[in-house]
Amino acid sequence: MLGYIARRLVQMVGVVLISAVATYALLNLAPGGPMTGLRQQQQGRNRITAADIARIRAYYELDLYLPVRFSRWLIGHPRGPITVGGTEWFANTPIGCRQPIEKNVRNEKGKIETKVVGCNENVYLRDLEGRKVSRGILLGDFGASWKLLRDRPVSDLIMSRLPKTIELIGLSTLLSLLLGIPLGIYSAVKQYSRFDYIFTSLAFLGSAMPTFFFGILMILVFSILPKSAGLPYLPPGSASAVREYVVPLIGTIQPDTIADRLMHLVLPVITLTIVSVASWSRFIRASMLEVLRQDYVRTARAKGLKEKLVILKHALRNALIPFVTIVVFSIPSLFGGAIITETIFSWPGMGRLYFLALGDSDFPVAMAILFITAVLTVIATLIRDLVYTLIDPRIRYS
Amino acid sequence: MKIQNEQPVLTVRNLKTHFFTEDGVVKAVDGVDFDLYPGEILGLVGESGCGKSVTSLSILRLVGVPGKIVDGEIWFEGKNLLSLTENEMVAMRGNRMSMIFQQPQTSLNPVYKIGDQVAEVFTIHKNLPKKEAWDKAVELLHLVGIPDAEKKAHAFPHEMSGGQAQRVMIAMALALNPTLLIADEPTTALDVTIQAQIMDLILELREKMGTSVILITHDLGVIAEMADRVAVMYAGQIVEQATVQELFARPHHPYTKGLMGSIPVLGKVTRRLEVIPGSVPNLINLPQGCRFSPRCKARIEQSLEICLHENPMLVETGSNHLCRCWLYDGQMKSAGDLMEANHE
Repeated sequence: MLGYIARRLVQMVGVVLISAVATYALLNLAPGGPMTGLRQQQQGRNRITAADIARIRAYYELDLYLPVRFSRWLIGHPRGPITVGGTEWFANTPIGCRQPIEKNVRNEKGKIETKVVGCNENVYLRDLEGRKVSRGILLGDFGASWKLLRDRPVSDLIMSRLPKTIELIGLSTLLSLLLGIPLGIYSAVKQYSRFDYIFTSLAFLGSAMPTFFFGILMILVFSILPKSAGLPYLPPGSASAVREYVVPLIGTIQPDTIADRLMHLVLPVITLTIVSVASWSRFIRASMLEVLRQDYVRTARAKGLKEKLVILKHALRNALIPFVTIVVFSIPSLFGGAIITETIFSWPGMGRLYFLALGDSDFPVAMAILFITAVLTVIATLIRDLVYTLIDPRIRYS
Repeated sequence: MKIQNEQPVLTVRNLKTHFFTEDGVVKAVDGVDFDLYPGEILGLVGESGCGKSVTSLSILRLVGVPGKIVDGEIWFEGKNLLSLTENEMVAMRGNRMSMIFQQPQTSLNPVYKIGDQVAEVFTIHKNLPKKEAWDKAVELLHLVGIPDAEKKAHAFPHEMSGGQAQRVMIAMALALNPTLLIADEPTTALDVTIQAQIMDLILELREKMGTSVILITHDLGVIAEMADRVAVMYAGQIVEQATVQELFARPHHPYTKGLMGSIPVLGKVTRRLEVIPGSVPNLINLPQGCRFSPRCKARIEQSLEICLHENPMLVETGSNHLCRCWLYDGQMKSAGDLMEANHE
């Protein structure tokens, strides 16, 4: 077992490294980026000089070749010439280009494209000395934010958002489990009953309804319409109020108190919960139906167990085994948040942070979130496989 | 052979279990009558889908949806099981009557230790504390011949062979010394050598505990060796019932004869085995008249018209011998004798 875990840990490091490469490559090779827009200003009235551009490119490290940039992001190296026994090595190795030569060329479709055709001035390894650099994401240093909170550590941004996401996702995950499992069981036990028909139709609707639509519907029905009708309404967005407000039957609520935060949680939590209750309970129902057909369930009944025990002790235990996978993979989303729902409800959590970071080309922030999510997913996989050995005696690793 | 002047432990009368499917009503069991006497082994034979298993599940009232017992009486220990409440029935199952199944390995819950699964019978019916129930379970596992029972009790079903798993099932079924044990093809999934061991175990425990057994099988060899009496089922009804010696010596019903003819006999040289032509009727759309009539050679040979219009009754055709066939029914008796003569 220990040997198995050790082997898995080595594999996990491999997977994490591959995901780091993929994350970095995807964001940095995609069109766009922080320089977009600056070029247009070169033609404008407040002209940006070539020197300005070079300076900004250096700030974003865009003057370095991609592998060098990636290495500095991953492990915080190289930081300058390599010194061995007092001698500097590779000091004059070019590792980037300060001023690329660009040329407008006509591509095969006849459109004009700007292409880099050469370099006016190289960046050498020695130039890296004195440049600001992180310790690398592998050591947990995600560098500084480019735009959202310029020059502040990415980890500060994440830490300010993470509690809000855990609050939102944690609460809705908990509710989904508490509702989804019993609903799924009941619907399976009462298969083809009126309850089952109504439930499966609603669950189908719930899992088919996109959150962006359902969230907006919730805001419309519980905030906008009641407010315009002069009725009490729920806050349509953000995590807390700015000033005190009165809720009928409850009283005055001060901003940022527990009551205020709960009020703001209602709509996003319901939105998220309905979607996952719908899919999770459908899963439990299917899994339970499968198990109820098994011979050992018939044995349990023939033994003289009450139907309740047959279901909850003999069937459920087996039906929950495949469900572990689903529950364990909600761990990464506890960190990554729910991008769409958080955006719709202006919830200051990780999902919204990621959305904003992408929109603003704040690559360090976006990459940090992607990378941590990847690490958590890999860890969740290991946890799942270990939990399997605990709940299913047929599974053993060696 | 047990003496049959005793009171039967189980009396089944006009049992009808139908399945209400989208295609129509499947009459899986359609008017079954039989008695089971103390300490007796009654063999229930018939081909797949003839209603053997549904009959046994009906006795335990474990027929699941869309199946339903629509008519009949099942008298057991002085009570009509069909009029008991579900709670009273739960107290019966695994306690006064129990059942073992065809696939022993899938009949045990894969996630619980076998010791716990056997012990559960004591905790639910006798309210024994966990430790005591466990000790009793180990004792039982020892009794059914599980070697090193103390240690094996901690094993999970997947760690056992089929034969061992069936022993565990038997231990579980006989834990509370029930009056009735239903064994639904208990050895079909096992190796031949293991089959004999399991059968011996059932015989041994029957002697020890005096349990009455309904043995369901399609293997006439097993019946010949194990059963005291035999009931042959066809298309949801019993077509012939007799002591085992009587049935093998003098089978009456053309179906039973067909079954016997389809068994290879050691030493007898035949070019090909006899088969019963045709196949089992559709239980939704049963033939009018005798259910076996479309396949019945005797009917064609004797060109009997009545078989196609009226289903015969199960009538006494010999000492302790019942048969459902026009050849043996009252007015047709002469024809039956004719058949008999032809047969010999």
